[in-house]
Amino acid sequence: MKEKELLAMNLQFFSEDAEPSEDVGANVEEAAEPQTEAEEVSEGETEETTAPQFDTDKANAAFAQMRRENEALRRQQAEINSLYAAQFGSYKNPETGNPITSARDYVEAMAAQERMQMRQKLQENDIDPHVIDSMIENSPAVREAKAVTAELNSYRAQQLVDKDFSKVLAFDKTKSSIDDIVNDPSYNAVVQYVETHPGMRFDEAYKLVNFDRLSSSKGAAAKQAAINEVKSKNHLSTGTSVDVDDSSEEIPASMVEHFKDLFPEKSMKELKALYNKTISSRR
Amino acid sequence: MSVTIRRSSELANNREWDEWATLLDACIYDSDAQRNKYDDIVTALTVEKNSKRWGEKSITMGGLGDFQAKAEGEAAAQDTFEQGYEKFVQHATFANEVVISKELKDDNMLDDAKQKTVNLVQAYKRTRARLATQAITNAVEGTSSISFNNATIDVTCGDNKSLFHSAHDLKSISGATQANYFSDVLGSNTVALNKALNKMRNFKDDRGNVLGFIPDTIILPGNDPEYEDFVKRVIGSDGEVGSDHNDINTQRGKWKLVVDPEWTPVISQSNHPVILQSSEALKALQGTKFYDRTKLDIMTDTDVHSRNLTYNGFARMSITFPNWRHVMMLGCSDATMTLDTATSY
Repeated sequence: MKEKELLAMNLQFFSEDAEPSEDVGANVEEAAEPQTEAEEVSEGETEETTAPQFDTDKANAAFAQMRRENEALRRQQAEINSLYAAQFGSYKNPETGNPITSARDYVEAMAAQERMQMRQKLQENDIDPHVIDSMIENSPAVREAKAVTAELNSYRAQQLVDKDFSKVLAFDKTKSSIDDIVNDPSYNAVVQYVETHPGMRFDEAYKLVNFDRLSSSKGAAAKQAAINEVKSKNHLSTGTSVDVDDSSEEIPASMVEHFKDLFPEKSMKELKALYNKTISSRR
Repeated sequence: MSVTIRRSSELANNREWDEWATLLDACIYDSDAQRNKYDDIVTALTVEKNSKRWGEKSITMGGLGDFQAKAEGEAAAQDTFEQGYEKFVQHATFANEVVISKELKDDNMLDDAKQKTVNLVQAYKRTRARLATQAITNAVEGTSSISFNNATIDVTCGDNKSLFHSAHDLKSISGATQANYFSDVLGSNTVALNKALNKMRNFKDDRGNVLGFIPDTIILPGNDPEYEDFVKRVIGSDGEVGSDHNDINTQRGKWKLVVDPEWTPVISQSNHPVILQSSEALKALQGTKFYDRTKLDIMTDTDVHSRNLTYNGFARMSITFPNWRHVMMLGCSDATMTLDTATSY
């Protein structure tokens, strides 16, 4: 078979369960030559290099963008809420008795008002409001709506979990995928911690459970920084031993010369310390 | 020390004196922070304490007796702590005042003004040192109180006998006495010093138990240069002083010398008073206590009539001797006991 008649096909297209014919296999072998370095490595190494990698920079950028958008939304919502609070703050929800402080409170208060008016009308017409409530509760449309709402809530919960996992991947550089987190020995402890502490997010619990391991890397960095500090040239500085708080008051210009005359043996730092002690100590 | 300066509301709003008052206050704080010889004297002679009451009562407490043998199965004999003598002291109030004249300020005599305010602090420190010195050095047999700067200071111990006495009582042993007031002059050798050291080691508590404290401080008057020289040789020479036998000096390096310039007794052939003190016993027995009820408290104000600036210093303090077994006085011609004749009951 002439070479130009061969089909230049990617090996990846052939799955293991599709047995290639002998001819095709021969063609593939020829097309695959010469082998690349990546193909020469052992099987284990190949699996490692093809594992999904987590790009921290891109993720951080994406999360930063999300944070900015969320903050903008929060600000916008806060402005709207403040307008509602200013306009309707003197009114209260007729059912709960709580004052209206946001747009959500306003809508709920209006709905509560309508419900109360409706119940009042039903009672005026000798109709039990509970019967109506039961009919609404069991109607197919309402059931479908509840199912959709539950599914939406589940979806949102999954989104929150994914977000928490992303945060973990951002601060724990030893983990490169969600599977790594799930397979970590501390995973069960983290989940248990979240369950026993309502309101606790997964990434926060992960930090607490893995505190020692996570902080040890930071501790090593701090230790190195201290070593660098010692090795630096700071010891060559020629300061006096008096430690004057930088926020302390300066000696007024009209008194500086007097202070120097009265205490000629003292440095400016010592004079400043004495001045500050004087004005702060006397009663 | 920790001086307190208070400004009157008039002075706080007085623009004429505001800057100078700040400068002079700084002088006071600086002088107060500098530890000087007066502070050293009080620290060497006494245990310094702060008080929050109008007076203080001190109680000595004897230790337990020895363990006693008992037969099998019998109960142990119960022992009790025995209270010794108690001593009460009421704090005395001392005050002083200096004035910075308007003329001094107008003439810009800042150094002179500084000297006046610094002297107020030094006078306070000197008063403390003098009170401690005079109370201790005058507390000899026959003197129960002294007059100090118009205050009457009690110089007796719990047994109502002056600090230095030839017959201190033991509360639990009737008729038994001990002396810590001797006529032996130290001289230029270690003989008297060794005897005195042994005498203090054998002082007993009110129950008759030997305390075993050894003196380590020699307090000398400031006006006895001859004996100051003797003592320096006796406690500092490698070999035995005044001997050509090449013997070692057994007292070398064992003593701390305190020359108290505030103590100026009459020096004569037979009168060279010296005080030996055990710093360990001073702390353990709380032998001499110096109380600061109110440390130097200065009120500053201006006088509308003279337009002068006034610094008014106020302090309350006291000294008392709950115990006498931490000190002894030698070389007093008035003493009736010698180190050889005095018996320890």
